[in-house]
Amino acid sequence: MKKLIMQSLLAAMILAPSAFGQEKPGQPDAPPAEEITQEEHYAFPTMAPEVRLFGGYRIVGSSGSGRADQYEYLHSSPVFGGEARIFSFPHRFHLDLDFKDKKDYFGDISYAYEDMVLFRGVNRTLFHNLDAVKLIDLNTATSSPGVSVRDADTRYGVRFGMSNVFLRFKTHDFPFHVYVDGTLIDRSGTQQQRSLLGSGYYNNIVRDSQSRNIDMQTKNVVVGMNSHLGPVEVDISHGEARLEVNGDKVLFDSYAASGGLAPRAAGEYPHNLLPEFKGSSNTLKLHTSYTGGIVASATFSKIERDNRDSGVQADYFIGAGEVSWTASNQIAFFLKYRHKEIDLDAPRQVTITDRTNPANSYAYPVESPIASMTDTLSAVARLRPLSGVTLLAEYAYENVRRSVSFEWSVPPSTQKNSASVSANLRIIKGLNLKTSYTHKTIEDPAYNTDPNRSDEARVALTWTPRPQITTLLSYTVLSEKRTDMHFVDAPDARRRDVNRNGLLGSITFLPLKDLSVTASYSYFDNKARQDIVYHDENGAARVDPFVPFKDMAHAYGLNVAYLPCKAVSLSASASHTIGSGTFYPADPNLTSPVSVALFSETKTRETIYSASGEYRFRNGYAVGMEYRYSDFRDVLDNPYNDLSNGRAHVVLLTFSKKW
Amino acid sequence: MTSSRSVLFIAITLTLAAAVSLSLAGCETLKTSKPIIPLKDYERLIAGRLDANYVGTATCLSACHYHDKIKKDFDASTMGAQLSKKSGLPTVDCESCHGPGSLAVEGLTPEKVKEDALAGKLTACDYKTLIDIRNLPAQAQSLICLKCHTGNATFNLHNWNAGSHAVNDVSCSDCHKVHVGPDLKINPREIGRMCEKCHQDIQALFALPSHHPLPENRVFCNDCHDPHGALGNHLLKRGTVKDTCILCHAEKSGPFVFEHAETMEDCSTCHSPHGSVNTRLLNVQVPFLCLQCHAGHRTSAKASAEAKGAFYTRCTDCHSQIHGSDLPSAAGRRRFTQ
Repeated sequence: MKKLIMQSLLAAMILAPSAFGQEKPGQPDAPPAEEITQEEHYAFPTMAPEVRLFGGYRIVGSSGSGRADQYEYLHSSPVFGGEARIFSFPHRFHLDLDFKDKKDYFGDISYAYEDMVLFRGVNRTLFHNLDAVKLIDLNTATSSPGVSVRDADTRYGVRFGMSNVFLRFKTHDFPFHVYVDGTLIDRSGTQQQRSLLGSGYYNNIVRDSQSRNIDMQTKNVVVGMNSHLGPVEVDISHGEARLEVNGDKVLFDSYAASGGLAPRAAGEYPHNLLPEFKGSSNTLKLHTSYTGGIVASATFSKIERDNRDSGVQADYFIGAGEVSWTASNQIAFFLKYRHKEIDLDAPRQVTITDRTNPANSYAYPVESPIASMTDTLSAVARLRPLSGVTLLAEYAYENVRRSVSFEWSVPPSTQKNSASVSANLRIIKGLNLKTSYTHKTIEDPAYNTDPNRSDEARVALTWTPRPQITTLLSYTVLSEKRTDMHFVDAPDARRRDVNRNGLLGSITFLPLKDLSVTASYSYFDNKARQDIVYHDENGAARVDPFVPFKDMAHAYGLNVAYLPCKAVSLSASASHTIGSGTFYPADPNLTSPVSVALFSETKTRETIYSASGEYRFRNGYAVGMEYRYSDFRDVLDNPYNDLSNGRAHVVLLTFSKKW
Repeated sequence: MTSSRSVLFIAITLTLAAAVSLSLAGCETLKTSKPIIPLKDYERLIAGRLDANYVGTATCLSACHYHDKIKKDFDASTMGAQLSKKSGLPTVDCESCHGPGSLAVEGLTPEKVKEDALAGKLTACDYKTLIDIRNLPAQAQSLICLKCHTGNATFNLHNWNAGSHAVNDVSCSDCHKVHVGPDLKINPREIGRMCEKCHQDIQALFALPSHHPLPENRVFCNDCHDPHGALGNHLLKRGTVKDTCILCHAEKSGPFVFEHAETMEDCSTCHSPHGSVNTRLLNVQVPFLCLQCHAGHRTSAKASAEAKGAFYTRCTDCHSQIHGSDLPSAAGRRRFTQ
C-alpha cells in the first residue's frame, strides 16, 4: 500500500506538469508590462552602520534551593553586549551579543555577501540549577532498606551550551545551493546520581546518592545541496551525529554478593554508564512549485544510530508524502502519508565484570528488541462557506505493526483512528470564536497510558470590544477511557479514566496611550482513576481498584508596560503559581502503617516579581535597571519529596551607548 | 524491512531520471517552474489590477516614500538589496507584492510631491488600486511570498502547504514583517512573544513550576518546533517527539541493550514538554507515574514505614537508568537499576 502511494506521488510530481501545466485557454492575460527603467534612477543608499554597546553589572543574591530561579546562574558578574548592523552592500553583517556570564550568554552573528554567501552563527548557553534529592532513612537501626548519602549539602548545576552554524553558497543567477548546517551541544557541570547499591535484591537494598561530573558533547553536521529542477525542487543531504562523553562516563561501586537465580559475587561493578552514540542520515526531499493548485512534496530519510559501547544498532526509514489541493477559494484538501520503520539489532548477551576481580564476569541473555513499522494517513478538508467562517474536518488513521518477542507484553499491532472538526468564526467585528472537537479510538493500545477512547473539546473566544481592550477566554476538556489495561500477572486490573481541564482568561487594556496592562489567570487539572497493582508479602499480585490521582495548578499573572515619555520606558510583572498533586490508594496494604501516597504528596507556591526601566539620554546614552525576585516554597514541607524552599534576587544595572 | 530500500531506490531512480530528462531539455526549461494546475482564483487575487501598468520602484521610493522609515528598513533588508540590479540578486520591487502601481500614482507629479513635502505632509496615492494585501485570505497572502520562495534555499518550506499553520490560515506576514527591517529573520529571543500571541494556552503552561526555560528566554519555540511545517505532528522540528527531544538530550537517545520497550519512542508518554506541576516535567508524580503500567513492589499492612518509603517514593532512586541501559541489573535483567 505504502509503496503504491509513494510511487504514485513521485510519478505525479515528475510527470504531471507536462500533462496539466499548460495554461487553459480563455484565462485573462495581464497587459504586457512596460519596460521597467527605474534601475537608471534607483541607487542603493549608503547606510551608516548602527552600533549599540552596553556594559553593567549583575548582582545576585540567593538562599536555599536553586529551584527558585532554576535557569539563572546564581553568581554576580559583569555583563556586556550590544548590537551592530553594517549594511555596506554587497556585504551585510549583523551581530547581537548579550553576555551575562560565561555560563549564561547569547550571541547571534550573520553575514551575507550578495545572495551568494549566507552565514549565520548562534551561540548561547544557559545554566540549570539541578535538584539535590535528600534520601531519608526512616530507621537507621536496620541496614536494609538503607541509605547512603555521599553528597550531603552539595549543590548541582549544569551549563548547557548550544552552537548552531549555517553556511550556504549559491551559484550566480541560478538557484543551486550547497550548505552546511552544524550544531554543537555541550553540557558540563555536576549532577546528582542516585542508584541502587547493596546486592540489588529485596533483602539488601541501599539507596545511594553521589555527585557525578558531566561533560558531554553532541555534534550534528548536515551537508546538503538543493536546486530547482523545473517541475520539482530537490534537496539531498547527508548528516553525521556523535555523542561523546567525558567526565564520569561510568561509575563503579561495591555491590554485595547476590544469590537467587543469577548469583553474583561481591565486587566492584559498573553502573549508570553513559554510552557514546554515532549516527548518520541520508535524506532526499522533493516538492513541486508551492504556487500550484496542487502542491506535492515527498521526503525519504534513512537514519542509522549506533551505540559505540554496547554495539546496539538502530535503523530508521522514514517516507513521507503530502498533497494539498486548493480546489477554489472556498475549498481545499490536504492529504498526508507517513511511513516509519524501526529496526534494532542488539547483541544476544551482555557481560558485566567485577573491576577488582575480572574472574567474576557474568554473561546474561538479552531480549530481542522491538522492531516496528508505522503507517499514518491523514486527510483534512477546509471549507470557507461564508466570509469570516472557516471549517476544518480531519481524519487520521495510524497502524503500528510490531515484530515483538513474548518477553515484551506489547501487542503485535495497534490501530488508531482519529476524527476532528474545528471551526473559526468571526461572529461580529472584534468577536472571534475558535472551537474544535477530536474523537480518537485506539485498538490494542500498547501501553496502559494510552486510552481506548478519548474525546477532547476546545473553545476559545477572543473579544476586542474597543481598540484599547482585548480579552481571551479559552477552555479545554479531555476525557479518556480505557477498559483493557494490561498488567503482567493481574488480569483483573483493566480500568482507567482520565479527565483534564484547562481554563485560561486574560485581558489586556490600554488605559492611556502609552500604558498597557495585562492580567491573566489559568487553571489546569489532571485527574486520573485507575486500577493499580502491587505485590503482597507473598509475591502475589493484588489490585487496588480505581485509585484516584489528581494534580492541579492555578497561575495568576499581571504585566504593566508604560512609556511616560520618549526617553523613558518602564515595565513590571508579577506571577504567582500554586501547584499540588497526590494520589489516593485505599487498600490497607498500601495505607498502613502509613500511606504510600505520603512520600510523594506535593504542594508548591512560586512567586516572581520583576521590574525594569530605562532612561535614554539625547546623545545616545542610556541607563537601565532590571530586578527579578523569585520565591519557591514547598508548602507542605514534605521531607520525602524532592522539593525544597529557595529564594533569589537578581539586579541588572546597565549603561549603554548607541551610535 | 527491505521495503525501505526499494522505496528509496525508486525515489532516487525517478529523481535521477527527472534530472537527466530536464538537463536534456536545457537550462531555460529548468528555470520555468509551473504549478501542476494553475491556481486561478488566488492568482487573480495577487495579480492586482489588470488595467494597471508597472511604474517601477523608483517612482514609489524616489517620490512618495523617499523619506519614510518603510524605505529605510526595506533598503536594509535582503529584499531591499534586491531593488538594485547591481546586487546580482533576482529583482524584487514594490510592485512584486503590491501589484502594478500606475493607477495609484495617476495624477501625481514630482512637483506636487515636493510641494507637499515642503509643507510637511505626505502625498497620498490611490492605494485602493493596489492589492489589498491585509484583507486577502491567508493562503493568498502567503502566495505573494511563495511565488518567489518556492525555490527557497534552505528548504524549510518543504512541508509548508499541508502544514498546520497553512491549513489554519496563518500566513507568512503573520510572523515576518517585510517592512520592519533590517532582516526578515526573527530574532530568536522574540520568537516566544510572537508565538504566544496565538498560542496563549501553551504559554500558560510555561508558568507551571517545572518548565523548559522559555519564559526565561534561554530556549526558544523554534528549538523544538518548525513553524514552516514539519514531518511530524505539532510541527515538531524532527519527525517524532523523541527525535526532537534528543537534539538536546542525546544521552537518552539510545539504542540501548535494555530498552524501555517502545515508550522511549515517545517521550510524552511520561513528560509534558511545555510545563508540569510535577518535577522533571513529569505528566504525573512518581510513583503513580510508574504504577500506571507497572506493578508496585512487595508490601503489606505489616511492612514498616521505612520499607514503604524505600519502595514508594521515587522509583528512579533505584531504577536510575529508566531511559535505557547497557548494563543488566544484579539479577542480570532489564531493570534499569545499573
